[in-house]
Amino acid sequence: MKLFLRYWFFYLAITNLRAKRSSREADYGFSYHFSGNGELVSLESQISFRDDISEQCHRIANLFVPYLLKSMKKSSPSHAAKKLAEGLLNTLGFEPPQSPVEQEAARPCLNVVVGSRPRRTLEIDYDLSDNLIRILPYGQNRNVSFNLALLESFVGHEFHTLVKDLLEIGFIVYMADLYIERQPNLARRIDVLIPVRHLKAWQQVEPQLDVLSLSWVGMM
Amino acid sequence: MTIRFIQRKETCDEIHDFTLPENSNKCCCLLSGGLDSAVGAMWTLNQGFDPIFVSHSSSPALSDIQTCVAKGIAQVSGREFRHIIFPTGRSKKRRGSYRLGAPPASPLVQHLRSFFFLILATAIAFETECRRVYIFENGPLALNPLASEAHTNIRTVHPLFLQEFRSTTGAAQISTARLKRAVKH
Repeated sequence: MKLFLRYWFFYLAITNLRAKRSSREADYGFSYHFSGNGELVSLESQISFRDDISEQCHRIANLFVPYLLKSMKKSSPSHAAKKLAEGLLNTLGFEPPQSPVEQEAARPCLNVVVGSRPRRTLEIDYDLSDNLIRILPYGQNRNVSFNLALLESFVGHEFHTLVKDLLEIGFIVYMADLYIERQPNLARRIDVLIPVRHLKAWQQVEPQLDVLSLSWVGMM
Repeated sequence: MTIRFIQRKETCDEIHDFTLPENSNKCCCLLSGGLDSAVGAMWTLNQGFDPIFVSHSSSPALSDIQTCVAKGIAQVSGREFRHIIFPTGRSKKRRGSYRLGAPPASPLVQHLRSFFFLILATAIAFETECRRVYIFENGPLALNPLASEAHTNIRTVHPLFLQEFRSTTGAAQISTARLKRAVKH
């Protein structure tokens, strides 16, 4: 467990380091390998730096494990989450995201909506985020570039409506990934509402899209 | 992440049995503009496939790179092929009620872009009757080992994800485009 936690914290640290950049245009995928003035950091220095981080992560993991073990002995999920939160606060210094128990108690949330359906209509069924993102792929007020006609002209015929649905789902998920900000601990929630032509077909795969695929691929 | 669907008011095509021809050497191949996909593209040509190369571009600079890479592949292989670059992003229109600003800076970026990229290739494969979709990726990156930098990179080539993707698209009845994962070291 300690080894797993050490690696997990290391991964978080490296991810944050790679993300450091001075401007939006910087190639953050590789910025970790370069110094502030753009010079390549030698491989030896990179390895030594990584070893230092790994050692620090080892110490943090040692501090966190007792909290983890105590949380596993708790009888209720809320008490376990509280203990874990205490551990995160004491070892890493940040608050964990809202617990699933608290989230499930509320109505379904939305922070990304496709289309211009009025807010008051949506509020009948959903709790809307204050920072709600609207994505409009079509029409005069469209706010994204998504030119399906380009693909259709390439293949020489109009796409099947089920394939159009698939493309739109993929595109909306990508845009949501771009626009929904992460918390300092890298966690976030994306709750999207997408109008589709073949509702029945897509409702069948909602759980698969949610849990097994996109949360993992998108590193939620 | 949760996705909720609602009905869109638009005429729908009928869903029928999408059977694609068995003996075809056509394939759809993702071409990101990087090294792995360029090597993979050459591989499909050397194997005698008739590939359609699909690129997704999030910026004009990337489109230029993808065009150059495709030209280079054509030059080196001496073969002709079809290549499409699909650009997406926020609209550059200056008017509208729901204009999107620049995306927020994030330490982890665009992981789900690879999901869209895969969908793009699947859609083209489906509509052009290709049975195979090739995604070329460096071996370690494809498996995303924990505690490596590869762990923070794309995950849509992981065998578990591909299995899930096939199952999901299958359940939604877009099952005939066969996915292949080609791991190159």
